[in-house]
Amino acid sequence: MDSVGSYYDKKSETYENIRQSLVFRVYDAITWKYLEPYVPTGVDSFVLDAGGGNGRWVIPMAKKGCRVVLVDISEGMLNFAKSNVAAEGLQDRIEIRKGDVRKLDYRDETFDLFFFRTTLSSFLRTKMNW
Amino acid sequence: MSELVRVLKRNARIILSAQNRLVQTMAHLPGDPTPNPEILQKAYNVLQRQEHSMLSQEPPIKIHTITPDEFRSLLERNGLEIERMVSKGVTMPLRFGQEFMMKADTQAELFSNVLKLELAFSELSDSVALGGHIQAIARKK
Repeated sequence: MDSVGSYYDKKSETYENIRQSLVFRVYDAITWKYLEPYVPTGVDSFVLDAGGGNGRWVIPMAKKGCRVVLVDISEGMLNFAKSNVAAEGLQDRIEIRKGDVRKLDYRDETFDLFFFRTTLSSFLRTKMNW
Repeated sequence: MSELVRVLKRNARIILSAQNRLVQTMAHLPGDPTPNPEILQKAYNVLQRQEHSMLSQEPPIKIHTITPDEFRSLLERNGLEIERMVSKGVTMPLRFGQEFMMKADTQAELFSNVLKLELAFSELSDSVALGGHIQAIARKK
């Protein structure tokens, strides 16, 4: 996991610009189309964005009314997330935590929605032992 | 996956994406077919999970990929009921080059046309096999 954190620490410096590229804008539009209808709007609803990076998704989700926790392994990404969340004034609805989503210190059945954009690709077990 | 499901309320949804190994395999083959044994072997290795796709060389990050059927099986094994699977990126990376994909100043009309096509693909359930990413919407039983 250290290599994943290091990769995203380095990537965080240019991530905001990369997100403006055609491929990310298209991917983001499709992601939101199939995410937005499922985001809970109640103030007591609790959403987890695992590997949430620079806060790209926690902000629009929190704007719908729910509380959101962003967990990410990259310190660099989390710094951007804190800045982006503060710029939107959403600190009261968004909690930002550094951590490994494979070991969550939350009680059973805590969350109303779990969003996991592409982080799964960092964890899937394969036949290979790399 | 079991840890993620553990903290999810019963009947709540999980929305997650993964990289499609079918598309990652095809992306290793040149658009203008000039196959050589090395390229074909690389594609074969990725498909057979004998080799990872690479997200980055510096630092080296390997992409763990999954096929649509493997994705369905993974979710179902962990007590999730799949409601929908959606393709993301049917035209990219298979049809548009890296330079075009990564452009930040794509003309508005061109972007609109690419998005229109991609959204139309995403509406078709069997397009998941063609998507660079697969997004699943599943509910905890």
